[in-house]
Amino acid sequence: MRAAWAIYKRELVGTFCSPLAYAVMVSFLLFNGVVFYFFMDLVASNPSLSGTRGPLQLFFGSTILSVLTLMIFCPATTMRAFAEEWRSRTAETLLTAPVTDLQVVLAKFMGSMTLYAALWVPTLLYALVVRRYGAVDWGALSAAYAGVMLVGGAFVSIGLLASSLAASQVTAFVTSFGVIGGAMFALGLGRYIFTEESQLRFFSYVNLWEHMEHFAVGMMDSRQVVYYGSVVVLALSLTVRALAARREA
Amino acid sequence: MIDVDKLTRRFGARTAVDELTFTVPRGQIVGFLGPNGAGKSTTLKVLSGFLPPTSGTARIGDHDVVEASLEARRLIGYMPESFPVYPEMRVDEYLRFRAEIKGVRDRKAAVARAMELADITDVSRRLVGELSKGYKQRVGLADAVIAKAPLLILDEPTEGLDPNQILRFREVIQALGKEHTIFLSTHILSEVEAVCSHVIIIHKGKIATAGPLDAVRAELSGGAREVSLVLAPKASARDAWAADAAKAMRDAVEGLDGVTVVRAIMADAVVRVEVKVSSEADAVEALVARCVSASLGVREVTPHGRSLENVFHELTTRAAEQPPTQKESAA
Repeated sequence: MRAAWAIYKRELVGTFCSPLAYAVMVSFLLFNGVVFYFFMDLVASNPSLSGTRGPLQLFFGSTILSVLTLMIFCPATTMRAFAEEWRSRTAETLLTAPVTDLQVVLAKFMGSMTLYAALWVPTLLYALVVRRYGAVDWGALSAAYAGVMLVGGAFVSIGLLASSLAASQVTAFVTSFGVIGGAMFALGLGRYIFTEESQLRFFSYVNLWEHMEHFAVGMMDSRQVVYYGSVVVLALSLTVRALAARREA
Repeated sequence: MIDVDKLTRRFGARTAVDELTFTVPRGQIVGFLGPNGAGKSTTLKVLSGFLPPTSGTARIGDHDVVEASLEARRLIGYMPESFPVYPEMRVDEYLRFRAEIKGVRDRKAAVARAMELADITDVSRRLVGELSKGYKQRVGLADAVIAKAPLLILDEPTEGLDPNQILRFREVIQALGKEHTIFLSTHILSEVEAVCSHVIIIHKGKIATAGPLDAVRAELSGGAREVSLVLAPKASARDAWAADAAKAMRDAVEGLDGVTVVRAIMADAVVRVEVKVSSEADAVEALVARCVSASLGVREVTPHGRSLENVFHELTTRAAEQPPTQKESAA
């Protein structure tokens, strides 16, 4: 794992020494700042709303806005990962070093997750803002952040898969945006299409919108951890396979 | 050190490397020569473990590059063509990173040694992306030697270097050849002649010829050498030379065994002549002696190595007539 650690450190250099990371961070904060302001304003002008759903619950909950954040910014943290290595041919030096493809993929995953986590850190200020005007449910907030990391981990791993197959960063972004968005809406629609009990249970289990709703109010259980964990494992294994397949072609 | 058996690599319908078989024994500096698109880089990419072969096998030391890829890769210092770099890293930072993923223990010393060897200590704090092509190539060389791998595989290492850097580079390669087996690709014949003991020439993915440098050179030239002369005939003879220089030259060397006049051109009272001379040791001496005794006014005598263009012209035309000579080994 020494090699993976070295690659992870290099990922951080590559990420945080490029303007892209800061452009992503700024747009993330701009977008979510506006969203948060909107929810603060909404709760302030509708006192009836503020029961279990304060501005933070609305912010992290299942509105299209929080989902859109994940859909846009997860691919943005991963689009560079492999696509840039292929484009600049550094993949050739990286993959001919005595490291396994799995080590490379894990290091890239951790690198992208670090950037993804860094995006969310400043949003802790939102909690401090809310605390000035009312109570913050820290337990629910922890669950919300854990949920954001869990769902984000799944999306980041899908983004890495797209990046390992794409010829350019733009293709990587568009592909992962499309796959994540498509899967999310397809799985979310299930409950409106199917009527049988078992089918509804299945679609409830895989429905990201419902999960986000639960995380935001502090509900989290091991099923969701298993679910998103499985997505990560599957997507990363496919990424390892994609690295080999790309060189076989 | 390298053992390649019927190695084939296809990209879709195109066959880049076609049943290549050769060995590179430990301790040799072997040149891998071929025109652009001959399959040199593809072969090196397979050896380095980057591309899997379509069929056939390649072994580094005792390790198959597919079955025991990690073990094989540990034995190799690989420098890809037009060395690709992470532009945002500093030179020393980059080399420390490479030393770390290659499992080097004393990284500080290894980085210092590699930078010294590749002569890049003065740019150690520069961003790799800002370096000139020559410097980037040298960073690539430093990367290749950093883990003291016993086998260096260098893909067109002098591409982009200026003439001074090329000379320096050749010295470095020769010095490295004392401790490493070196397999380097190039399309420049003089480069092979300057540093390699053995050569493998490939054309269209197949071996055209292989063996010790001298043997290959003799084989390619069919035993003959080319010599150019600059002559300044006496004023009394100039009319004859001006009328038909080639004929005048043929007359002058008539009766000399193994000398063929290729062409002769008269310009400004001097004649530039190209002749083919057989490989016997005294053939050139006999030619020059004849010119001197005939008072042709010998000003210059320049023996030529054969240019790669000629070599390939010859190899490809010969290949059209008969199958190329296949030698199983560079030894």
